[in-house]
Amino acid sequence: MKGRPCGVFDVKYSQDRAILRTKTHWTLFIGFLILLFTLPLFLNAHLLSLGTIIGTTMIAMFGVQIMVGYTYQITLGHAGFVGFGAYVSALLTHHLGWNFFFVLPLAGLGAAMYGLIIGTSTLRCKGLYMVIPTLSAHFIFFYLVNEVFKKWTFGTEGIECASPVFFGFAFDNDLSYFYLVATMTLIVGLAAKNLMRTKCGRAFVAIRDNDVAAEVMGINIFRYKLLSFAIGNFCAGISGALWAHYITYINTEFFPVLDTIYYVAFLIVGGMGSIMGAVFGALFWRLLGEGVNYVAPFLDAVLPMNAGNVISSMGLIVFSIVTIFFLIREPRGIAHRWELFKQSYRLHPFNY
Amino acid sequence: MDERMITFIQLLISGIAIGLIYALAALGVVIVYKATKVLNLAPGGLLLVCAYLAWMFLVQLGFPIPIAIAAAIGATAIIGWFVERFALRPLIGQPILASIVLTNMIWFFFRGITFFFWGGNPRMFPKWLAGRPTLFIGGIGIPQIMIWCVVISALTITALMIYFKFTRSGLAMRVTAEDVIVAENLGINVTRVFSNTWIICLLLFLITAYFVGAIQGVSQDLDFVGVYGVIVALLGGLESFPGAIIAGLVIGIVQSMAGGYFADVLGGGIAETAPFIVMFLMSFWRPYGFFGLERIERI
Repeated sequence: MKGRPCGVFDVKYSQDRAILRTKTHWTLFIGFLILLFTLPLFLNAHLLSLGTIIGTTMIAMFGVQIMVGYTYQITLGHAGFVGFGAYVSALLTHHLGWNFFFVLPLAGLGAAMYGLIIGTSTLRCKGLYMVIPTLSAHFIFFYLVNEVFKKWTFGTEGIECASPVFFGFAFDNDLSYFYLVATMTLIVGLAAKNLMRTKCGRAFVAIRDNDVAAEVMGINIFRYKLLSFAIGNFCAGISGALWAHYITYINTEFFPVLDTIYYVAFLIVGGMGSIMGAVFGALFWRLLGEGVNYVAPFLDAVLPMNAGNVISSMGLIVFSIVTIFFLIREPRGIAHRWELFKQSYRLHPFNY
Repeated sequence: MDERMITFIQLLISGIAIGLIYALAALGVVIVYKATKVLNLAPGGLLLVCAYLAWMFLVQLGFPIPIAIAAAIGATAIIGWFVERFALRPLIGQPILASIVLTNMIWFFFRGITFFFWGGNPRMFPKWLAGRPTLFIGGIGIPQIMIWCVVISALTITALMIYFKFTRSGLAMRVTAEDVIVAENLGINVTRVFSNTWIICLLLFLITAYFVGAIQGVSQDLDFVGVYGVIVALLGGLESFPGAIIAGLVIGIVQSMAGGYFADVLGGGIAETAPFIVMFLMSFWRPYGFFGLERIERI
C-alpha cells in the first residue's frame, strides 16, 4: 500500500493503475525527459560515453531484473547472452551488410533463442542449481565464438562493427549515439515496467514466490520460465548489439565472467524486484567504476611499491567490498532506500 | 603396448591427476554446503590467496620448510575465520541468491588483493616441490608430484573421516549438517561449527593450492581451477563427499581426453569447455548431481 499524499484521490480505476498518477508525477517526468535530451548538448565526450555505457548496461539490467528479480531464475551467464547478441549483430552487419536497425531486433531474438536453449534446463533445475546451466552457457558462448564459428567470427582476433546508419544519418559520434541509447533505454524500461502489469508479469511474480503453488493454480510454469528467459535475454541481446556498434570492435574479452557476476551482484545492490532497482544497479555500477578509475592514479602515486597493480585490482576490491557491504546492510537494495525516502517525503511531517 | 594404448593411459593418468585437484577443491565446497547450506562460489579467489600465502612463506620470506608450512596453515585458518565472521555470519538465513553473490564477491576481493600485493607474474614454488622428475613405467610418464598428490589426498580424506567420526566437533558438524535447529536444541554452538567449517574448507584449499601451484605455477590462472572446483561439487552432488571425489576424477578425465583426442577436430578450446558441456547436459539428466539429494518441495 503506497502512501498517497493528502488530498490526492483516485476517481477512476485507470488512475489507480497508472504509473504516473498525479500532475506532479507528469511534470517531473516531462522535466526529466527534457533534461535527458537537452543536457547532452553541453556535456563533453567522456561524460557522453559514460552515459551511453550506463544506458546499455541499464538495458541488460532490465533483462536480469526480469529473470532474477521477477521470476527468480538465477542467471550466472548474462554477459554471455549480451555477447551473443553483440556477435549476432556484428556478424549480420559485417558479413551480410544489413542495416543495423533491422539487425537490432534480430540480435535480441538470437540471444533469446540461445536463452531458450539454456532455459530448457529449467525443466529440471531449480533455484540454486540454475547456476549450472547458466554458468556453462557463458563458457559455451566463448567456445562457440572462439572455435566453432571461427570462420565467421575470426575467433580471438575480434570482429569490427560499423556504426549504425539510418537513412543516411550515421550515428558515429558520441552525441548522436547517446540519443540513440537513451531512447532505447526509455523504450525498453517502459516496456519492462508495463510487462510486469500484464498477466505474464503476474505469472512471473507467482513463479518467484512459490512455483509449486503457481503450477497448482494453473500457471504453466515451464512456459513462463522459458518466456522469462527469452524476454530477459532479448534485452541482453539488444544491449549487446547497441554496445558493440558503439565501440565498433568486439572480442570475447569484452564479455568476461566478471561482468556476468557483476550483473547479478549490482542487481541486488540496486534492488531486486523493481525496475527502479535495475536502474539504480546499472547507475551505481558504472558510476562506481568511474570513481575507481578517477581515484586509482592517485592511489598509484601514494603506494609506489605496488605501482601498476593498483589500477587493475582496485576495481575488483572496491566493487566486492561495496557489494558485500550492501548485502549485509541493505539486502533490499538502493531501490528500497529510495522508496523509504519517497515515503518520508509524502508523509512529512508524520512518520507513517 | 602400442602407441595408442600408451597415449590413452597417459591421458588417463594426467586426467586423474588434475581430477584429484578438482576433487580436493570441490570437497571444500561440499563441506561448506553441507554445514551451512551456502554454495561457496569463492574457491577461485580463496585458492589464489592460499597459493600466494604459501608461496610467500616458502619463497618470498624464505622460512624453513616446516615453519613455512605451519605459517601457511595458520594464515589460511585466520582467513577462513575472518571470512566466516565478517562476511557470512551476517547473512545467515538470507535466501540463497544473497550467498551466491556474496561468495562471488569474496572471490573477486581475494583476486583483487592477490593481484594488488603480488602482481600478475607467475611465481614458482621451489625445486623440491615443483621440480620433481617424472617416473617412467613401461613408457608411461607419471609425474612424481601426482603420486604425492594421491598420497596426501588420501591422508587428508582419512583425517577428515576420523575428524568427523571420532571427535566432538566433528560430530557437532555432522549434526549441524543434518539439521541446524536440532543442533541448536542440543546445545551445539552453531556459529562455532560454521567457523570450523570454513577453516577446514580453507585448509583443504591450501592443500589444493600447494599441488596446483607445483604443477602450474602460482598465478592468476588459478581461479579457473576454483571455477572447476565448484562445477565438480555441483556435478557430484552438493551433499556428498564421495560424489565430489568421483565427479572430480570424471571431470579431470573428460577434460584430458577431450583435450587429447578432440583438440584437432573441435578446436583447442574444447579442453576448457568440455566440463561445461558435460555440466549442461547433466542439468537435464541429474540436476542435483550424481549423488546429491533431490529436493522435494511441498506447498
